Amino acid sequence: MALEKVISEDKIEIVGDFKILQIRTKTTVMEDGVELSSSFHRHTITPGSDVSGESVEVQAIANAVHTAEVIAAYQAHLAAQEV
Amino acid sequence: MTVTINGTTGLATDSTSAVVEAVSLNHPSSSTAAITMDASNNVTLASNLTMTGGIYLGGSGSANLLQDYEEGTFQTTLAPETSGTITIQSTADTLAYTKIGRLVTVTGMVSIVSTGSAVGSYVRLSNLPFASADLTEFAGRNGGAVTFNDNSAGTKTTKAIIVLESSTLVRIYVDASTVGGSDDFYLSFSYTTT
Repeated sequence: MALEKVISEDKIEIVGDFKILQIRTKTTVMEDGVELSSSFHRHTITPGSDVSGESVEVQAIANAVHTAEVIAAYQAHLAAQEV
Repeated sequence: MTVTINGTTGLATDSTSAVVEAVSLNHPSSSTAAITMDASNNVTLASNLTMTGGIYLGGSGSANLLQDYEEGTFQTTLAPETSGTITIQSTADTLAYTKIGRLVTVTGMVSIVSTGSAVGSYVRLSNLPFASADLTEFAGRNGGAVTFNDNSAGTKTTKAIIVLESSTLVRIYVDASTVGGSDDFYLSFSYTTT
């Protein structure tokens, strides 16, 4: 009877015009290969964010989709919502 | 007549009537019906239902499709609008979320450990777990309120918030210079995502 905790980024989504990344981290407790329980933890990455602490996969995606144009458009979008 | 499909004994009926009034289905390892259907077309499941797709409720249009439920946690940060810093305790920076369809509800409390020359008319809460929606006209904007526990002043006040469209940001409208170490924000708000 071996217990194991497995942490994985099980879902990475690119959302909307500004390519916001939604990353879901799943923590699974396994017993002899059978899932006993799991929980989710999420974080998001907006254009222009520091991704140095992210996984190699997430960094690659962010670098590909968060172009200078997208970053500029996102900043302009936020500024346009001043209320 | 009740028709029972039992994984161990097979097909059985409880009378000779040709009218089927109820149907039940048992797994071989259980004496409890996993699925039952009565004469009123009510279907009951004894345990969980796992669906990889969605479920249409109240109609068959795309607007009736409930596709997602998820609960979990996320870590957030705070920053003043204009300049300075607001640092949250590392043991009190995790919030909970529940997503039902496109509606995300965020709950929890964040505690501030220190601030540095914080200036601005609002405090920015970052890293929502799902990007907010950008819907027709301003339908994707969301408002609400949070409770600001100002420990130094001994007051608890309500502060307005807005969730910007197509972002992961919340603005909490509190004078950033009045936020100090040991203050807390109690949060419970909902917003729409895509």
